[in-house]
Amino acid sequence: MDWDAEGIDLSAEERMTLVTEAEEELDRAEDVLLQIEAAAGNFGRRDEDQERLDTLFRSMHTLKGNAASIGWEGMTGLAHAAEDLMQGVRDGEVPPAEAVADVLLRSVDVMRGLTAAMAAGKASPAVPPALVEEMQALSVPTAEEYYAGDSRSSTDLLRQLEAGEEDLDGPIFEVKVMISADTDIPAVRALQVILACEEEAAQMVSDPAKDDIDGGILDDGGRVTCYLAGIDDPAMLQTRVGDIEGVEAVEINRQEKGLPDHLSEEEEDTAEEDNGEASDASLVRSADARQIRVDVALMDRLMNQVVEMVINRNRLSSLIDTLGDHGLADLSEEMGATVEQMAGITTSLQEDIMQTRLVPLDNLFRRFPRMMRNLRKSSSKEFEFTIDGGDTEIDRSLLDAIGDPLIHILRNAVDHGVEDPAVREANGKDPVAHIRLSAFRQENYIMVEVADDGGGLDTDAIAAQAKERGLIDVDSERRMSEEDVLDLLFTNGFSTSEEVTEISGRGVGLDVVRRDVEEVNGTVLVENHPGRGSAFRLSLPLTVTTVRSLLVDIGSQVYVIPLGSIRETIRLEAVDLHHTGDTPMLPFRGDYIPLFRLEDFFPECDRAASGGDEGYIVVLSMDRRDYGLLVDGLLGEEESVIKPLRRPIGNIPGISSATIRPDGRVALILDANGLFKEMRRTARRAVNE
Amino acid sequence: MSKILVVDDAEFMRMRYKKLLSGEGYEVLEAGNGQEAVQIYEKEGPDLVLMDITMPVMDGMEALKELISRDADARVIMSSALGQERVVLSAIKGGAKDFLVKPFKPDNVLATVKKHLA
Repeated sequence: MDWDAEGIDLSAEERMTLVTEAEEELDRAEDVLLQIEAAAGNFGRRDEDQERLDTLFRSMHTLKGNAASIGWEGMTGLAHAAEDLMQGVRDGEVPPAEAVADVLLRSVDVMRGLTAAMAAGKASPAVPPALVEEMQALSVPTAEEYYAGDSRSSTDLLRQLEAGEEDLDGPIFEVKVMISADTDIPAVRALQVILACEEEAAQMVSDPAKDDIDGGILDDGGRVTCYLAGIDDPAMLQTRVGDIEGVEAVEINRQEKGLPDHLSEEEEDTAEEDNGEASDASLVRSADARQIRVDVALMDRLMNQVVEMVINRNRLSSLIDTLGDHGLADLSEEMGATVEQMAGITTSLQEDIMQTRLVPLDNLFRRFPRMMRNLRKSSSKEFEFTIDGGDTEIDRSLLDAIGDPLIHILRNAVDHGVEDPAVREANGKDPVAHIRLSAFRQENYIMVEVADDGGGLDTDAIAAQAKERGLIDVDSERRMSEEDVLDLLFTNGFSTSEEVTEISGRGVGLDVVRRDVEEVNGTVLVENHPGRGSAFRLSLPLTVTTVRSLLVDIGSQVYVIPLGSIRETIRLEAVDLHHTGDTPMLPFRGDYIPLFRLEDFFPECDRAASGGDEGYIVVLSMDRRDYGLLVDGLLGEEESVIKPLRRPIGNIPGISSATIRPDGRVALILDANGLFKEMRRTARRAVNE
Repeated sequence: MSKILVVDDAEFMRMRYKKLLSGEGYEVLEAGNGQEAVQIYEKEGPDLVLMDITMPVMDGMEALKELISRDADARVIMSSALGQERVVLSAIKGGAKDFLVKPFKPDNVLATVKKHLA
């Protein structure tokens, strides 16, 4: 048990369920609200619209119920107001207009804030009272339904009873009950009293009559009077009535009287369906008992443990190899077989755990329609926004990592990518632009792309801006390719926006986007089609914890190169290098590509020993361009465990992370993209000097 | 040990009920909507049903009708929110034994449950 700032007492599990469920309901509600808004007044005409309104109502109802059950006041009040408003909409009393969707969307935002605070165990932010009032103003006032049955005198009742059936003997019992005003729904308590009497008696009449109770509130000070005939067990009657919640006083009087001929005709009162609650159409979600929720922190721990196991498995394999060297070949072989089996199990365990961490990108993507809607409203741009491939699965931690970068890129697309409608029309384009967010899997990578059909990127303007900011000088500009110029976008201190807008803001630039993406071993690539649009593509690894890689040695050091970035390996003796400029060029697939040495830009590292023909060239591909890296030897492939480099080592261009070798030593994992950029930068600097 | 079937589409509510009721030694079964409730009722024959009203797939009123038609003695307690008075009235007329009003008050829930299992 832990107490949070609200004084709400919840276990960690309860809190997680509460928060997760709230998030789910809010997502679901937002979805419907956006549809209402998009339908612009035409919503509610179709059957499926009605189902959506039911869903929306239920979401608010669940949010309110959950919140109220723990005394989470801000949330309860807001969800209650939203529920009332939705009830009116669902029942056709309030039209599903844009204004309704708008105020509900704003409420959803506030509820998200409340939920986030709850998740963090913090005090809820204040709920703006105006928001609740606005919803109340839109709601149809629900007329309190008072019980309006005429109060009848006991003589009337007796006469009624006497006017009933013939030939009933025995005493008549008068039951007088007081229902507490404090009880929940007093009218229902009164009804329970009447029903209990009805069951105990052969015949009865009551004030109020059963049929007259149809609202929640009793008048007449909560008094209920019944006259009963044909009672077998008066004590039982006393107990049953007395046991009903909210019954304050029971008075049962026996009246020896001849029974009337027949009783009132009010008995045949079937429980008619009161359709206050319309039968709810089916909803997508059905509780699937074969699925369980697991805390992400636990998943992370599991993954880390498996990763440690992989390291140990690798180490064990290498130790067993050395047994042979000590004349224990038999033992080595036997242990080798066992370890191999264990290795197989470890691998599938690792794969399974990795599998469980996969979540559809929709979990992230569904935030964006709302954001884009807001951007559309607050800017002069006209655009459609579509999402494709949201069902593509990705590691959960990557989902978190790319959230902010995508927000930034999407905002840029609106702010800088898409032209004003008038400009588009003048250029013969559809005034409504198109921004598309898509995802798909490509080999061992997940590609997430934001593409717009706007004006594209103006490389001249980018270069000019970079010069102005002192990022490049005239000389280096001359030598820059288009890609180099586009790369400037990701440089710290660069911003193409001439004015600071509310949408893109200033301060955080694409450099942060790149840093965030590279931190998870992904890359950002920009594609430019002047006049026709641009695309920002994130390429993300399938997993975050291991990578298939080639081990190479350079000097006395072992380096790890992810297989994903390797095009080919070539024996040095098999090639004919061209030494025309500063960098030797390697003929490769009908082209010449530069050949680099690691020491070219890590002067302090071991030099590749191979001057002659002994070494190898690993051909790496950077985005769509290739280059060679000279290495001394190829040591084989392995599944390398990725250990991120943190402070004080931090971010080194060209090195993405490290791994632990089976012998326990650390090897650096090279980053083909970073290396290439670093090479070019070094090359430019060398020319400048 | 009495078996109680808790029917609510909100997982959080089921969790709260379960914690409270199992703490008192009851065996707690759960259903996320009316349809599941009917299925579980037939299979497990619980002694008492705590039934939410507003639920997807099959709501509480419909589920109540189904349960009563299968077992006229089914002990069903409706759990309602404020504002659902009329529905509760028709539930009681339709054979529900009692009702509880959310927000969930533990003492109230236990008293009502005990009363109907006595």
